[in-house]
Amino acid sequence: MLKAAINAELLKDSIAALAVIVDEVRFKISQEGISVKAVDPANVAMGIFELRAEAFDEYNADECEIGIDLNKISDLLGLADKTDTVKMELDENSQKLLIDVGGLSYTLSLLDPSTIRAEPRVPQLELPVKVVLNGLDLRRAVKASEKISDHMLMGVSDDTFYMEAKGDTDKVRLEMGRDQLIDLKSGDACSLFSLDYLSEIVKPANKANEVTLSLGRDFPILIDFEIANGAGKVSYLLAPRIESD
Amino acid sequence: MTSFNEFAETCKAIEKISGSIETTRRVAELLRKVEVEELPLTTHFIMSEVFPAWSGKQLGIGTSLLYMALSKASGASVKSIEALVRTTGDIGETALLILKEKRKNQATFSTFFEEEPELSISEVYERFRKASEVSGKGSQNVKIKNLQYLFNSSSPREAKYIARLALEELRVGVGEGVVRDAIAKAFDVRVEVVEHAYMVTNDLGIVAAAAKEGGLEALQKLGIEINRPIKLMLSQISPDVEAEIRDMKEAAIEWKFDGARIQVHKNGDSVMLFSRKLENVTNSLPDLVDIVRKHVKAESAILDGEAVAVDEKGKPRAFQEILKRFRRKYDVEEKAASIPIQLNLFDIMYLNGRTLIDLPLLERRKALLSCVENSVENSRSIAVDEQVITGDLELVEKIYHEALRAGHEGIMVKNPESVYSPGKRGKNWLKKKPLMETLDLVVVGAEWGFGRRANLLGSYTVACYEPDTSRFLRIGKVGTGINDEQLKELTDMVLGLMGGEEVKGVFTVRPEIVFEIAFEEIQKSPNYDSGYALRFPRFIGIRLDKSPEEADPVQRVERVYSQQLKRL
Repeated sequence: MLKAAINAELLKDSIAALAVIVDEVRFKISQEGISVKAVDPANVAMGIFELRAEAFDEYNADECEIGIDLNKISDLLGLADKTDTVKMELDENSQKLLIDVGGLSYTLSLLDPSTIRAEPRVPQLELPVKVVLNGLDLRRAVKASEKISDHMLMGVSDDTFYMEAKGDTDKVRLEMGRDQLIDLKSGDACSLFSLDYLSEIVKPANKANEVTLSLGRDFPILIDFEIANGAGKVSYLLAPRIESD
Repeated sequence: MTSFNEFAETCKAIEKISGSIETTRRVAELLRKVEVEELPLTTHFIMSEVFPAWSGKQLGIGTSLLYMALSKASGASVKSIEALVRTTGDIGETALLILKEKRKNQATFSTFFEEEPELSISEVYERFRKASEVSGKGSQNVKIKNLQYLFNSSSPREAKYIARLALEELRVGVGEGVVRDAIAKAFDVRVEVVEHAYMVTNDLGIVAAAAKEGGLEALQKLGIEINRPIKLMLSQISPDVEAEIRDMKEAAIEWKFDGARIQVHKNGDSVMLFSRKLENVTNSLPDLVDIVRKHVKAESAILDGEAVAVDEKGKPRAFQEILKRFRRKYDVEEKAASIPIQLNLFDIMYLNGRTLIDLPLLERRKALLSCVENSVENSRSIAVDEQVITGDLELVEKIYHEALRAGHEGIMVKNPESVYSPGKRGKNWLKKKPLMETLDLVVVGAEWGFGRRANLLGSYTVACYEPDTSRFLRIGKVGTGINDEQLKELTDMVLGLMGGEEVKGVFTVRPEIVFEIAFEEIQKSPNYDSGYALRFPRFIGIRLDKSPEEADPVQRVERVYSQQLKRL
């Protein structure tokens, strides 16, 4: 069972954050809220998403799982105003989600969850370095890197966090000292990542005042930020590019 | 589940073997090792296919998609991958080299688990299946990511064969014959039993799994199934049909219709139609479905026949008209009304739950006649074709000319005692038709080949001459009939004549070289500036003795075309 109402922009942002990883997801619904764990088809990026009941204007649910085509839902949310309220109600028998927004009522057919990839196993990683920065700074570095390369190095040396991209001939580097960062737990970290994924990830992260990056050496990066004024959280785990043996 | 590495190791070993006995032994070893669930996939993989041909499923992965996935997996640019394909001439070798290089490859999460899982044969299949099934918005991206996953989850050696499989071109020289023998060897059954099981199922994967699970007994139980197409029995051209008829004493003579081969499956009220390539064409041909439903009086049946497009008077139209019907996806009904079809049935393989392919032709014929009701509605018709059993060569000659006059291709000469052998081209079905003509045409364009032909010019645009204007008018492209040695020689010759200009991959070539080209028919075509196109063009040789101006003029093309029409 699910009956809920939520701000249209918040829902739109949530869907966009998930769409970075996959097109189809399994929503796990419980009394506490909605959560999703998904991995992209290449097994390179994972998204761990949660939106707690407090994020909703109205929320009533029992435990269940539904399959959603994110493209469809983001298309229909495209027509909503930022301030609209989206009302949702699940019809479990017909496996349809009734969505009411801005005077329009949609009946959205759900996907059979068993046809969607199961929740991925999340690797247990020791990521010694933590960098907390503004989402805008991260996005700026990624944008600059995109111009000259398709991958970007992220690391910490001494008390400086750096992001660097090298093209065939050119190079761009952004350094941020302890005073420019919100917080820093220094250590040994340096890993290379595909911009294919980072470019998408920084779009939703852009709105967050605080983005936490957890890093290691030739290790995945964990990118965390809050949504819905702390009533929700998005985490991305991205595998690095490494020299194979 | 079996590791894909087992498969890759087998490929690597047989690539180096030239003898088929040793190849068969290695394939048998692989088939024995693989678990029964994965046996059908493995059997198809080793024959360079991902899906069985009859399933109608297309993998649909092109080279550009594959290069993109390899680029994302390795970090190497698409340009450098393309360049490497040119040098190696092989996507597999390219993938191996690229992923082996000391470059930072994309890692997957599997790397960060304590035990990195091995890539299994079924996972490779699953990823291919996903890539083939996804459609719509963002589907290109999903295809690329699934392939990228495979490249990043495999060793470079495995990646070599994944890349080749993605293009369904494994290049290990394993065909149906080897696999059939390998199944027999692996599961200790006689080759003839495997062969027969293959003929009736048209799927060596199913055969292999049955052999592993139940041996001889399971294989003998396999039968023809309705809605799973059977390989068509094929005919061969005989240089001396008369001698063959004398050998047979009496032969069954039928017209060889100028249409498209079709296999009809009827099961109660449901009808499925398959093309010569065993593609499902049911949706394009509702009129045929309808006429079969009405006039085939059987609970279930599999029939073989030829569909012929006709005009209002019932005269056959050019072959391309029937293809228009087969390929139609939209406005199907409208096309059905404007291009009526005659269905000529000439064989039956299955009737009311019983397999008939082991019966002699004459017996099958009786069964066919017993369940098909000939009918004509407007120009549409369904009929069992005329068959004459005779040893009289004059009569055969007479039937042959009647067929040609009626606008058809010639005659079929069949052994009345022969069984229906799916997929076989043999002496039991012979065809007699007029010899192909040839034209001498000038090379005016060339395209780079793919795969094994990647660093060679694989296709040549040819043109006839227009003396009045001294222009060369294009009439078609030819790429078949050229052996590897000739292809190298032609590439060297043509490279020197190539200008820089390119339209859709076709490079302009200075008109100097004359090819002798055989073909089956000339068609009207808006695609070439001559206004004509060749059907089934085939390279015969270079006419070194001819200058481009001595090539056949467009007037000769017109003449051949109108002679064809007179035959109608």
